[in-house]
Amino acid sequence: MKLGKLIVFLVLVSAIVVFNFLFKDKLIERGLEAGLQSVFQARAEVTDLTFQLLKARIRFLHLQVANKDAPMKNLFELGPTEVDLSLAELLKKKFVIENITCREIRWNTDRQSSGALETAEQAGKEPEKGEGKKKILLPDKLSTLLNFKATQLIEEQKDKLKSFGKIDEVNASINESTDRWETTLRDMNKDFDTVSKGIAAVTKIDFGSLKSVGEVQEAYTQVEVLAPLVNRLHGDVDRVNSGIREDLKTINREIKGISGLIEQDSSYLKGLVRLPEGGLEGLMFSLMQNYLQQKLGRLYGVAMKAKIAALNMREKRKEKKKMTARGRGEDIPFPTTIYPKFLLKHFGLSMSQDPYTVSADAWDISSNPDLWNKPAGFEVTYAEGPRKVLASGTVDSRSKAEQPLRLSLEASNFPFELNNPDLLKMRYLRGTYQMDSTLVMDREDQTTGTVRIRILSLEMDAGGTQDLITRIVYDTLRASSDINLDVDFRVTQPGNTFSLSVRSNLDDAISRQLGKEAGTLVQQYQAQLIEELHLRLAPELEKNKTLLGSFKDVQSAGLQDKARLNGYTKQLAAKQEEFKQALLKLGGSKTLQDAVKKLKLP
Amino acid sequence: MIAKVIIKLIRILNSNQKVGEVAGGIACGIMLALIPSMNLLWFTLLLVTYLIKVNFAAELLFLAIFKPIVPLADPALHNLGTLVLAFGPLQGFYTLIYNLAVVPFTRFNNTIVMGGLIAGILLWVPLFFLFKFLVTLYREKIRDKIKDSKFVKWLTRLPIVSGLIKVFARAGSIRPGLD
Repeated sequence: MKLGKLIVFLVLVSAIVVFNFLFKDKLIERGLEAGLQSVFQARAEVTDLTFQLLKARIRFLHLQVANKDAPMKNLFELGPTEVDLSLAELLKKKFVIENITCREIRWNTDRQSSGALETAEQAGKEPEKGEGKKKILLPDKLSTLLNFKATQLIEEQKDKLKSFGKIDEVNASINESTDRWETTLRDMNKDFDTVSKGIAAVTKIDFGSLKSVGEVQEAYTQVEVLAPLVNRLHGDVDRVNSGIREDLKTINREIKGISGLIEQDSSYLKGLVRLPEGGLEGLMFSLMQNYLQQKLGRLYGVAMKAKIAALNMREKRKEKKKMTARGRGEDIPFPTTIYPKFLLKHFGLSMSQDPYTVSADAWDISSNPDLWNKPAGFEVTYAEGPRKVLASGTVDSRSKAEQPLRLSLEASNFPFELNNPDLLKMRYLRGTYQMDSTLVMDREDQTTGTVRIRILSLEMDAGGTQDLITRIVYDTLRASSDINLDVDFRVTQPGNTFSLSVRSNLDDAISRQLGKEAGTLVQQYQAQLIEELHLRLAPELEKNKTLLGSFKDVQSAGLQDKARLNGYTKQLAAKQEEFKQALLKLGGSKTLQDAVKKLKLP
Repeated sequence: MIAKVIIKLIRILNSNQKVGEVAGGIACGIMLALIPSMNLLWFTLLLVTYLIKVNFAAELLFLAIFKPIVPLADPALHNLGTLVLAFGPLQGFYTLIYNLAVVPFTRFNNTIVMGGLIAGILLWVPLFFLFKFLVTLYREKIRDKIKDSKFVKWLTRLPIVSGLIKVFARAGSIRPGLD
């Protein structure tokens, strides 16, 4: 019985081994062909397929699928192809791809025999994708110089000119002060009227004719009521005059400040029509502005997509710690590589379809970069005749990555064309260029990059323009055999603010020439600008003077009130003196003296 | 349940099976009991012992008997496993097999699995000879004495025991051992 079981077991094992060596590859080859044929409804051929179950590896030398609509053509062909997985990791429910390569992908190639099957049906179509462009606005000094109009420029810059705002502010302040003190003085006039009437009444009293205590008492009451009112009015008038004086000081100080701001604004306006400093660094940039925006924007866009894709790949959950005790005993760990749940160690493909050749490689793409501890990398080469592009980079989505993104792009013999550039009165500028660029994103998502562009050939048509800048640029570019642009750019978050700095080997030459011819022009423009500024400010300043005059009138009114009050005080004092004399005269009468003693004197 | 085990044991001991096969089955059963189950090593050993010429019934019986007892030996097995797994010269080998595709599923790196395996292997030969001796002794000297004892005769006459004997006789041929 035991021998029988053993024989059955051995036969089973032998059958598996024989199947593995003799039939497995052929069967899978046929299965793959049948599958492809049912999908594409045309003949499919796979050659030299090898499948290794224990290594989880499948590879074939060649695969071709015919086009069902053109049986003597292949829909596509694949050259040496390999898919190599890690079985050990698959058994741990981890998808680790050691290698995926597919070389020599081609389309629409000729077949030696017909690829038609007996039945064929239509295949689907791939949707096309459109890509939006991101508009990046950049500062432009030169446009100001080239399209100079003093009035328009001041109108445009009005928000940035401080003097207009300050004059308005000072005028409003004077108005407010004038209104406030006028109201206060008006309110005080009521008290003045009361005091004035009281003083008139007191003045009329003849203390010499008073004969009885009742008369003295009545006269005294009038004085007693008036004296504190006069004193309070003195305090009010002093306070008002002091306040007016302080306000006037402030107003004068602010008016002085206006002059300083006008000076500042004048300098600012002059700066707008000054030739760019540092060798006219903005000129070449301005010329290439749209082109650079497009290229750098696209480069940045690609980089961001790569980063987002890498972040999306990250495992949502943290991997469980593997080495935990299961049931009884203790698991002793031995040195091993712990893989993330998904890892693509290497992926490569190449395709060629005259005149294009493209090859792409990617590596270390993982769902847990921290565990794998390597950044994902890629390299893509594209060639089309003399044009070549090499893009390579790393996307490091490890949590402590210093540079989450690094991208470099080399392109050679690519054409560019600028039609009717904004700043120049040219019909076109066209040529070919060579570009080396790098882009690095740091941990704070700040992106910096450099681009070095070498213009290999340049054609342009100035159309006989007399425009100063165009003429100078045209002459300089024509005289130069080598044109280089060095661009440094930075994208800051949030808001993707793009800033560029561009230098060119022609900047100095253009700047010198432009400096010579444009110096006089700039001085004229600056003078015009200052004149226009003063013209625009004159009505405001006039208004300011008028308001200041009104305020000074208020101040005079306050001072007059004070003088009037001083007169009232003198009159009251005289009357009090008179009252004392009257009391002395009444001193003979004992009864009256006693009554007077009871009186409260002011 | 206990009666079933006893009857099964008696049946095995009284059967015409070779003594060596029975002893081998018992030794294998104890070895499997020493190793924690639910891992590839345990199932592989079970398959191998199924294919080799040992009494599989005796193996399963002793596996069932010893399985609940073996956890008492876990501390000793853990120490033995730790000793073996920490053995310096074998570290390279352990690392190699630990990184192979299937081997980690044997849980060989577990101290009790390794301790149980080593203890099982070491104990297999002594157990084999011990049980071979005991089975022979039983068959030659004890079986007939028990069979003819008044107690057994009284026991088999009890309605419950005779009923059980009939049930087992119907289910599988139990009679040869008891008659």
